[in-house]
Amino acid sequence: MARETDTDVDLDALFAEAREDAPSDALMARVLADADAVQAEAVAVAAAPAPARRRGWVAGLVESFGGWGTIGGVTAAGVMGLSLGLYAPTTVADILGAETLGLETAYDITPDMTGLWGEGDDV
Amino acid sequence: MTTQDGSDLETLEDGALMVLFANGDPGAARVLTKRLLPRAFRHAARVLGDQAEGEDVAQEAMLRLWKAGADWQADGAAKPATWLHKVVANLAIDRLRKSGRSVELGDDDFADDAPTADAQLQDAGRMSALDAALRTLPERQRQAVVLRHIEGLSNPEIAEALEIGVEAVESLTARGKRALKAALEGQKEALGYGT
Repeated sequence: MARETDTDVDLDALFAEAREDAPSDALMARVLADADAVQAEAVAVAAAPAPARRRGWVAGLVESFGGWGTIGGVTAAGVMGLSLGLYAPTTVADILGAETLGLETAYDITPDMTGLWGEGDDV
Repeated sequence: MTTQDGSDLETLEDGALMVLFANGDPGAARVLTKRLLPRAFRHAARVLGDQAEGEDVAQEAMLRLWKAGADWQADGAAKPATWLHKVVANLAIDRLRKSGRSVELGDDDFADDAPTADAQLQDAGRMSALDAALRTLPERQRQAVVLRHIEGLSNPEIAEALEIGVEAVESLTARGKRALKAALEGQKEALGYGT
């Protein structure tokens, strides 16, 4: 490389020389070996079969009840029952649009059987 | 060199090569190594002032790059080259500090008055003289000068690699270059000038 002979240090020429530095073939080989090892490891991990999933106790419990469908039905029925219990009977009657039995209403549903027991005026 | 599907690897950007590497393409690592290892090596060797240590740091940085491959986003903001320079910068600083060769940081980073390099410029050879002069600069000035003037990174790229602001980079490179020139001024003979 041509060198300047003036009094100034030519930094740019020095930097240009520094840019020509190159890694050795041995370093290049080591880096490529590292790359191959990392790549091989990644491929091995990707190819390995996934470990069998352990079934949790919740899943076992749900299955013993017949699955999530059954659990869902039971839950819905429970919620319906709870709501019927919480709302006042009149509200339920409004919703149903039908008469319901009230505690204040007295119905005489027992048949009068005294006629069967009496003979004439004797009891 | 082509990919597994036959396209030319040399035409691909570094980020795309990283994704191919993670997908097991055998040629991607070779192209990336050819492109990036020289940069990592020069950066490390110039900052550390030692070729063997530069090789160690460059190899370690490249290993970290390979390991990062699985999570690399092809369209992500990080460029492999800048990412690699950041790793090299940190590894080099760690080594300098552990070995006690670090020139302390802080306000001195932005000072003009670099210590004289006379005592360190005894070795013959222009690159040795350059290394000795670089060693007189505070760490971040040294890194900034190497990345800007030898590796040709832009100021924003240097800012990202050194994790500092762009304005700080401008200050570091300007003052670093001035200090470097001053350090080399008395060694023209070793540099082959003025004979």
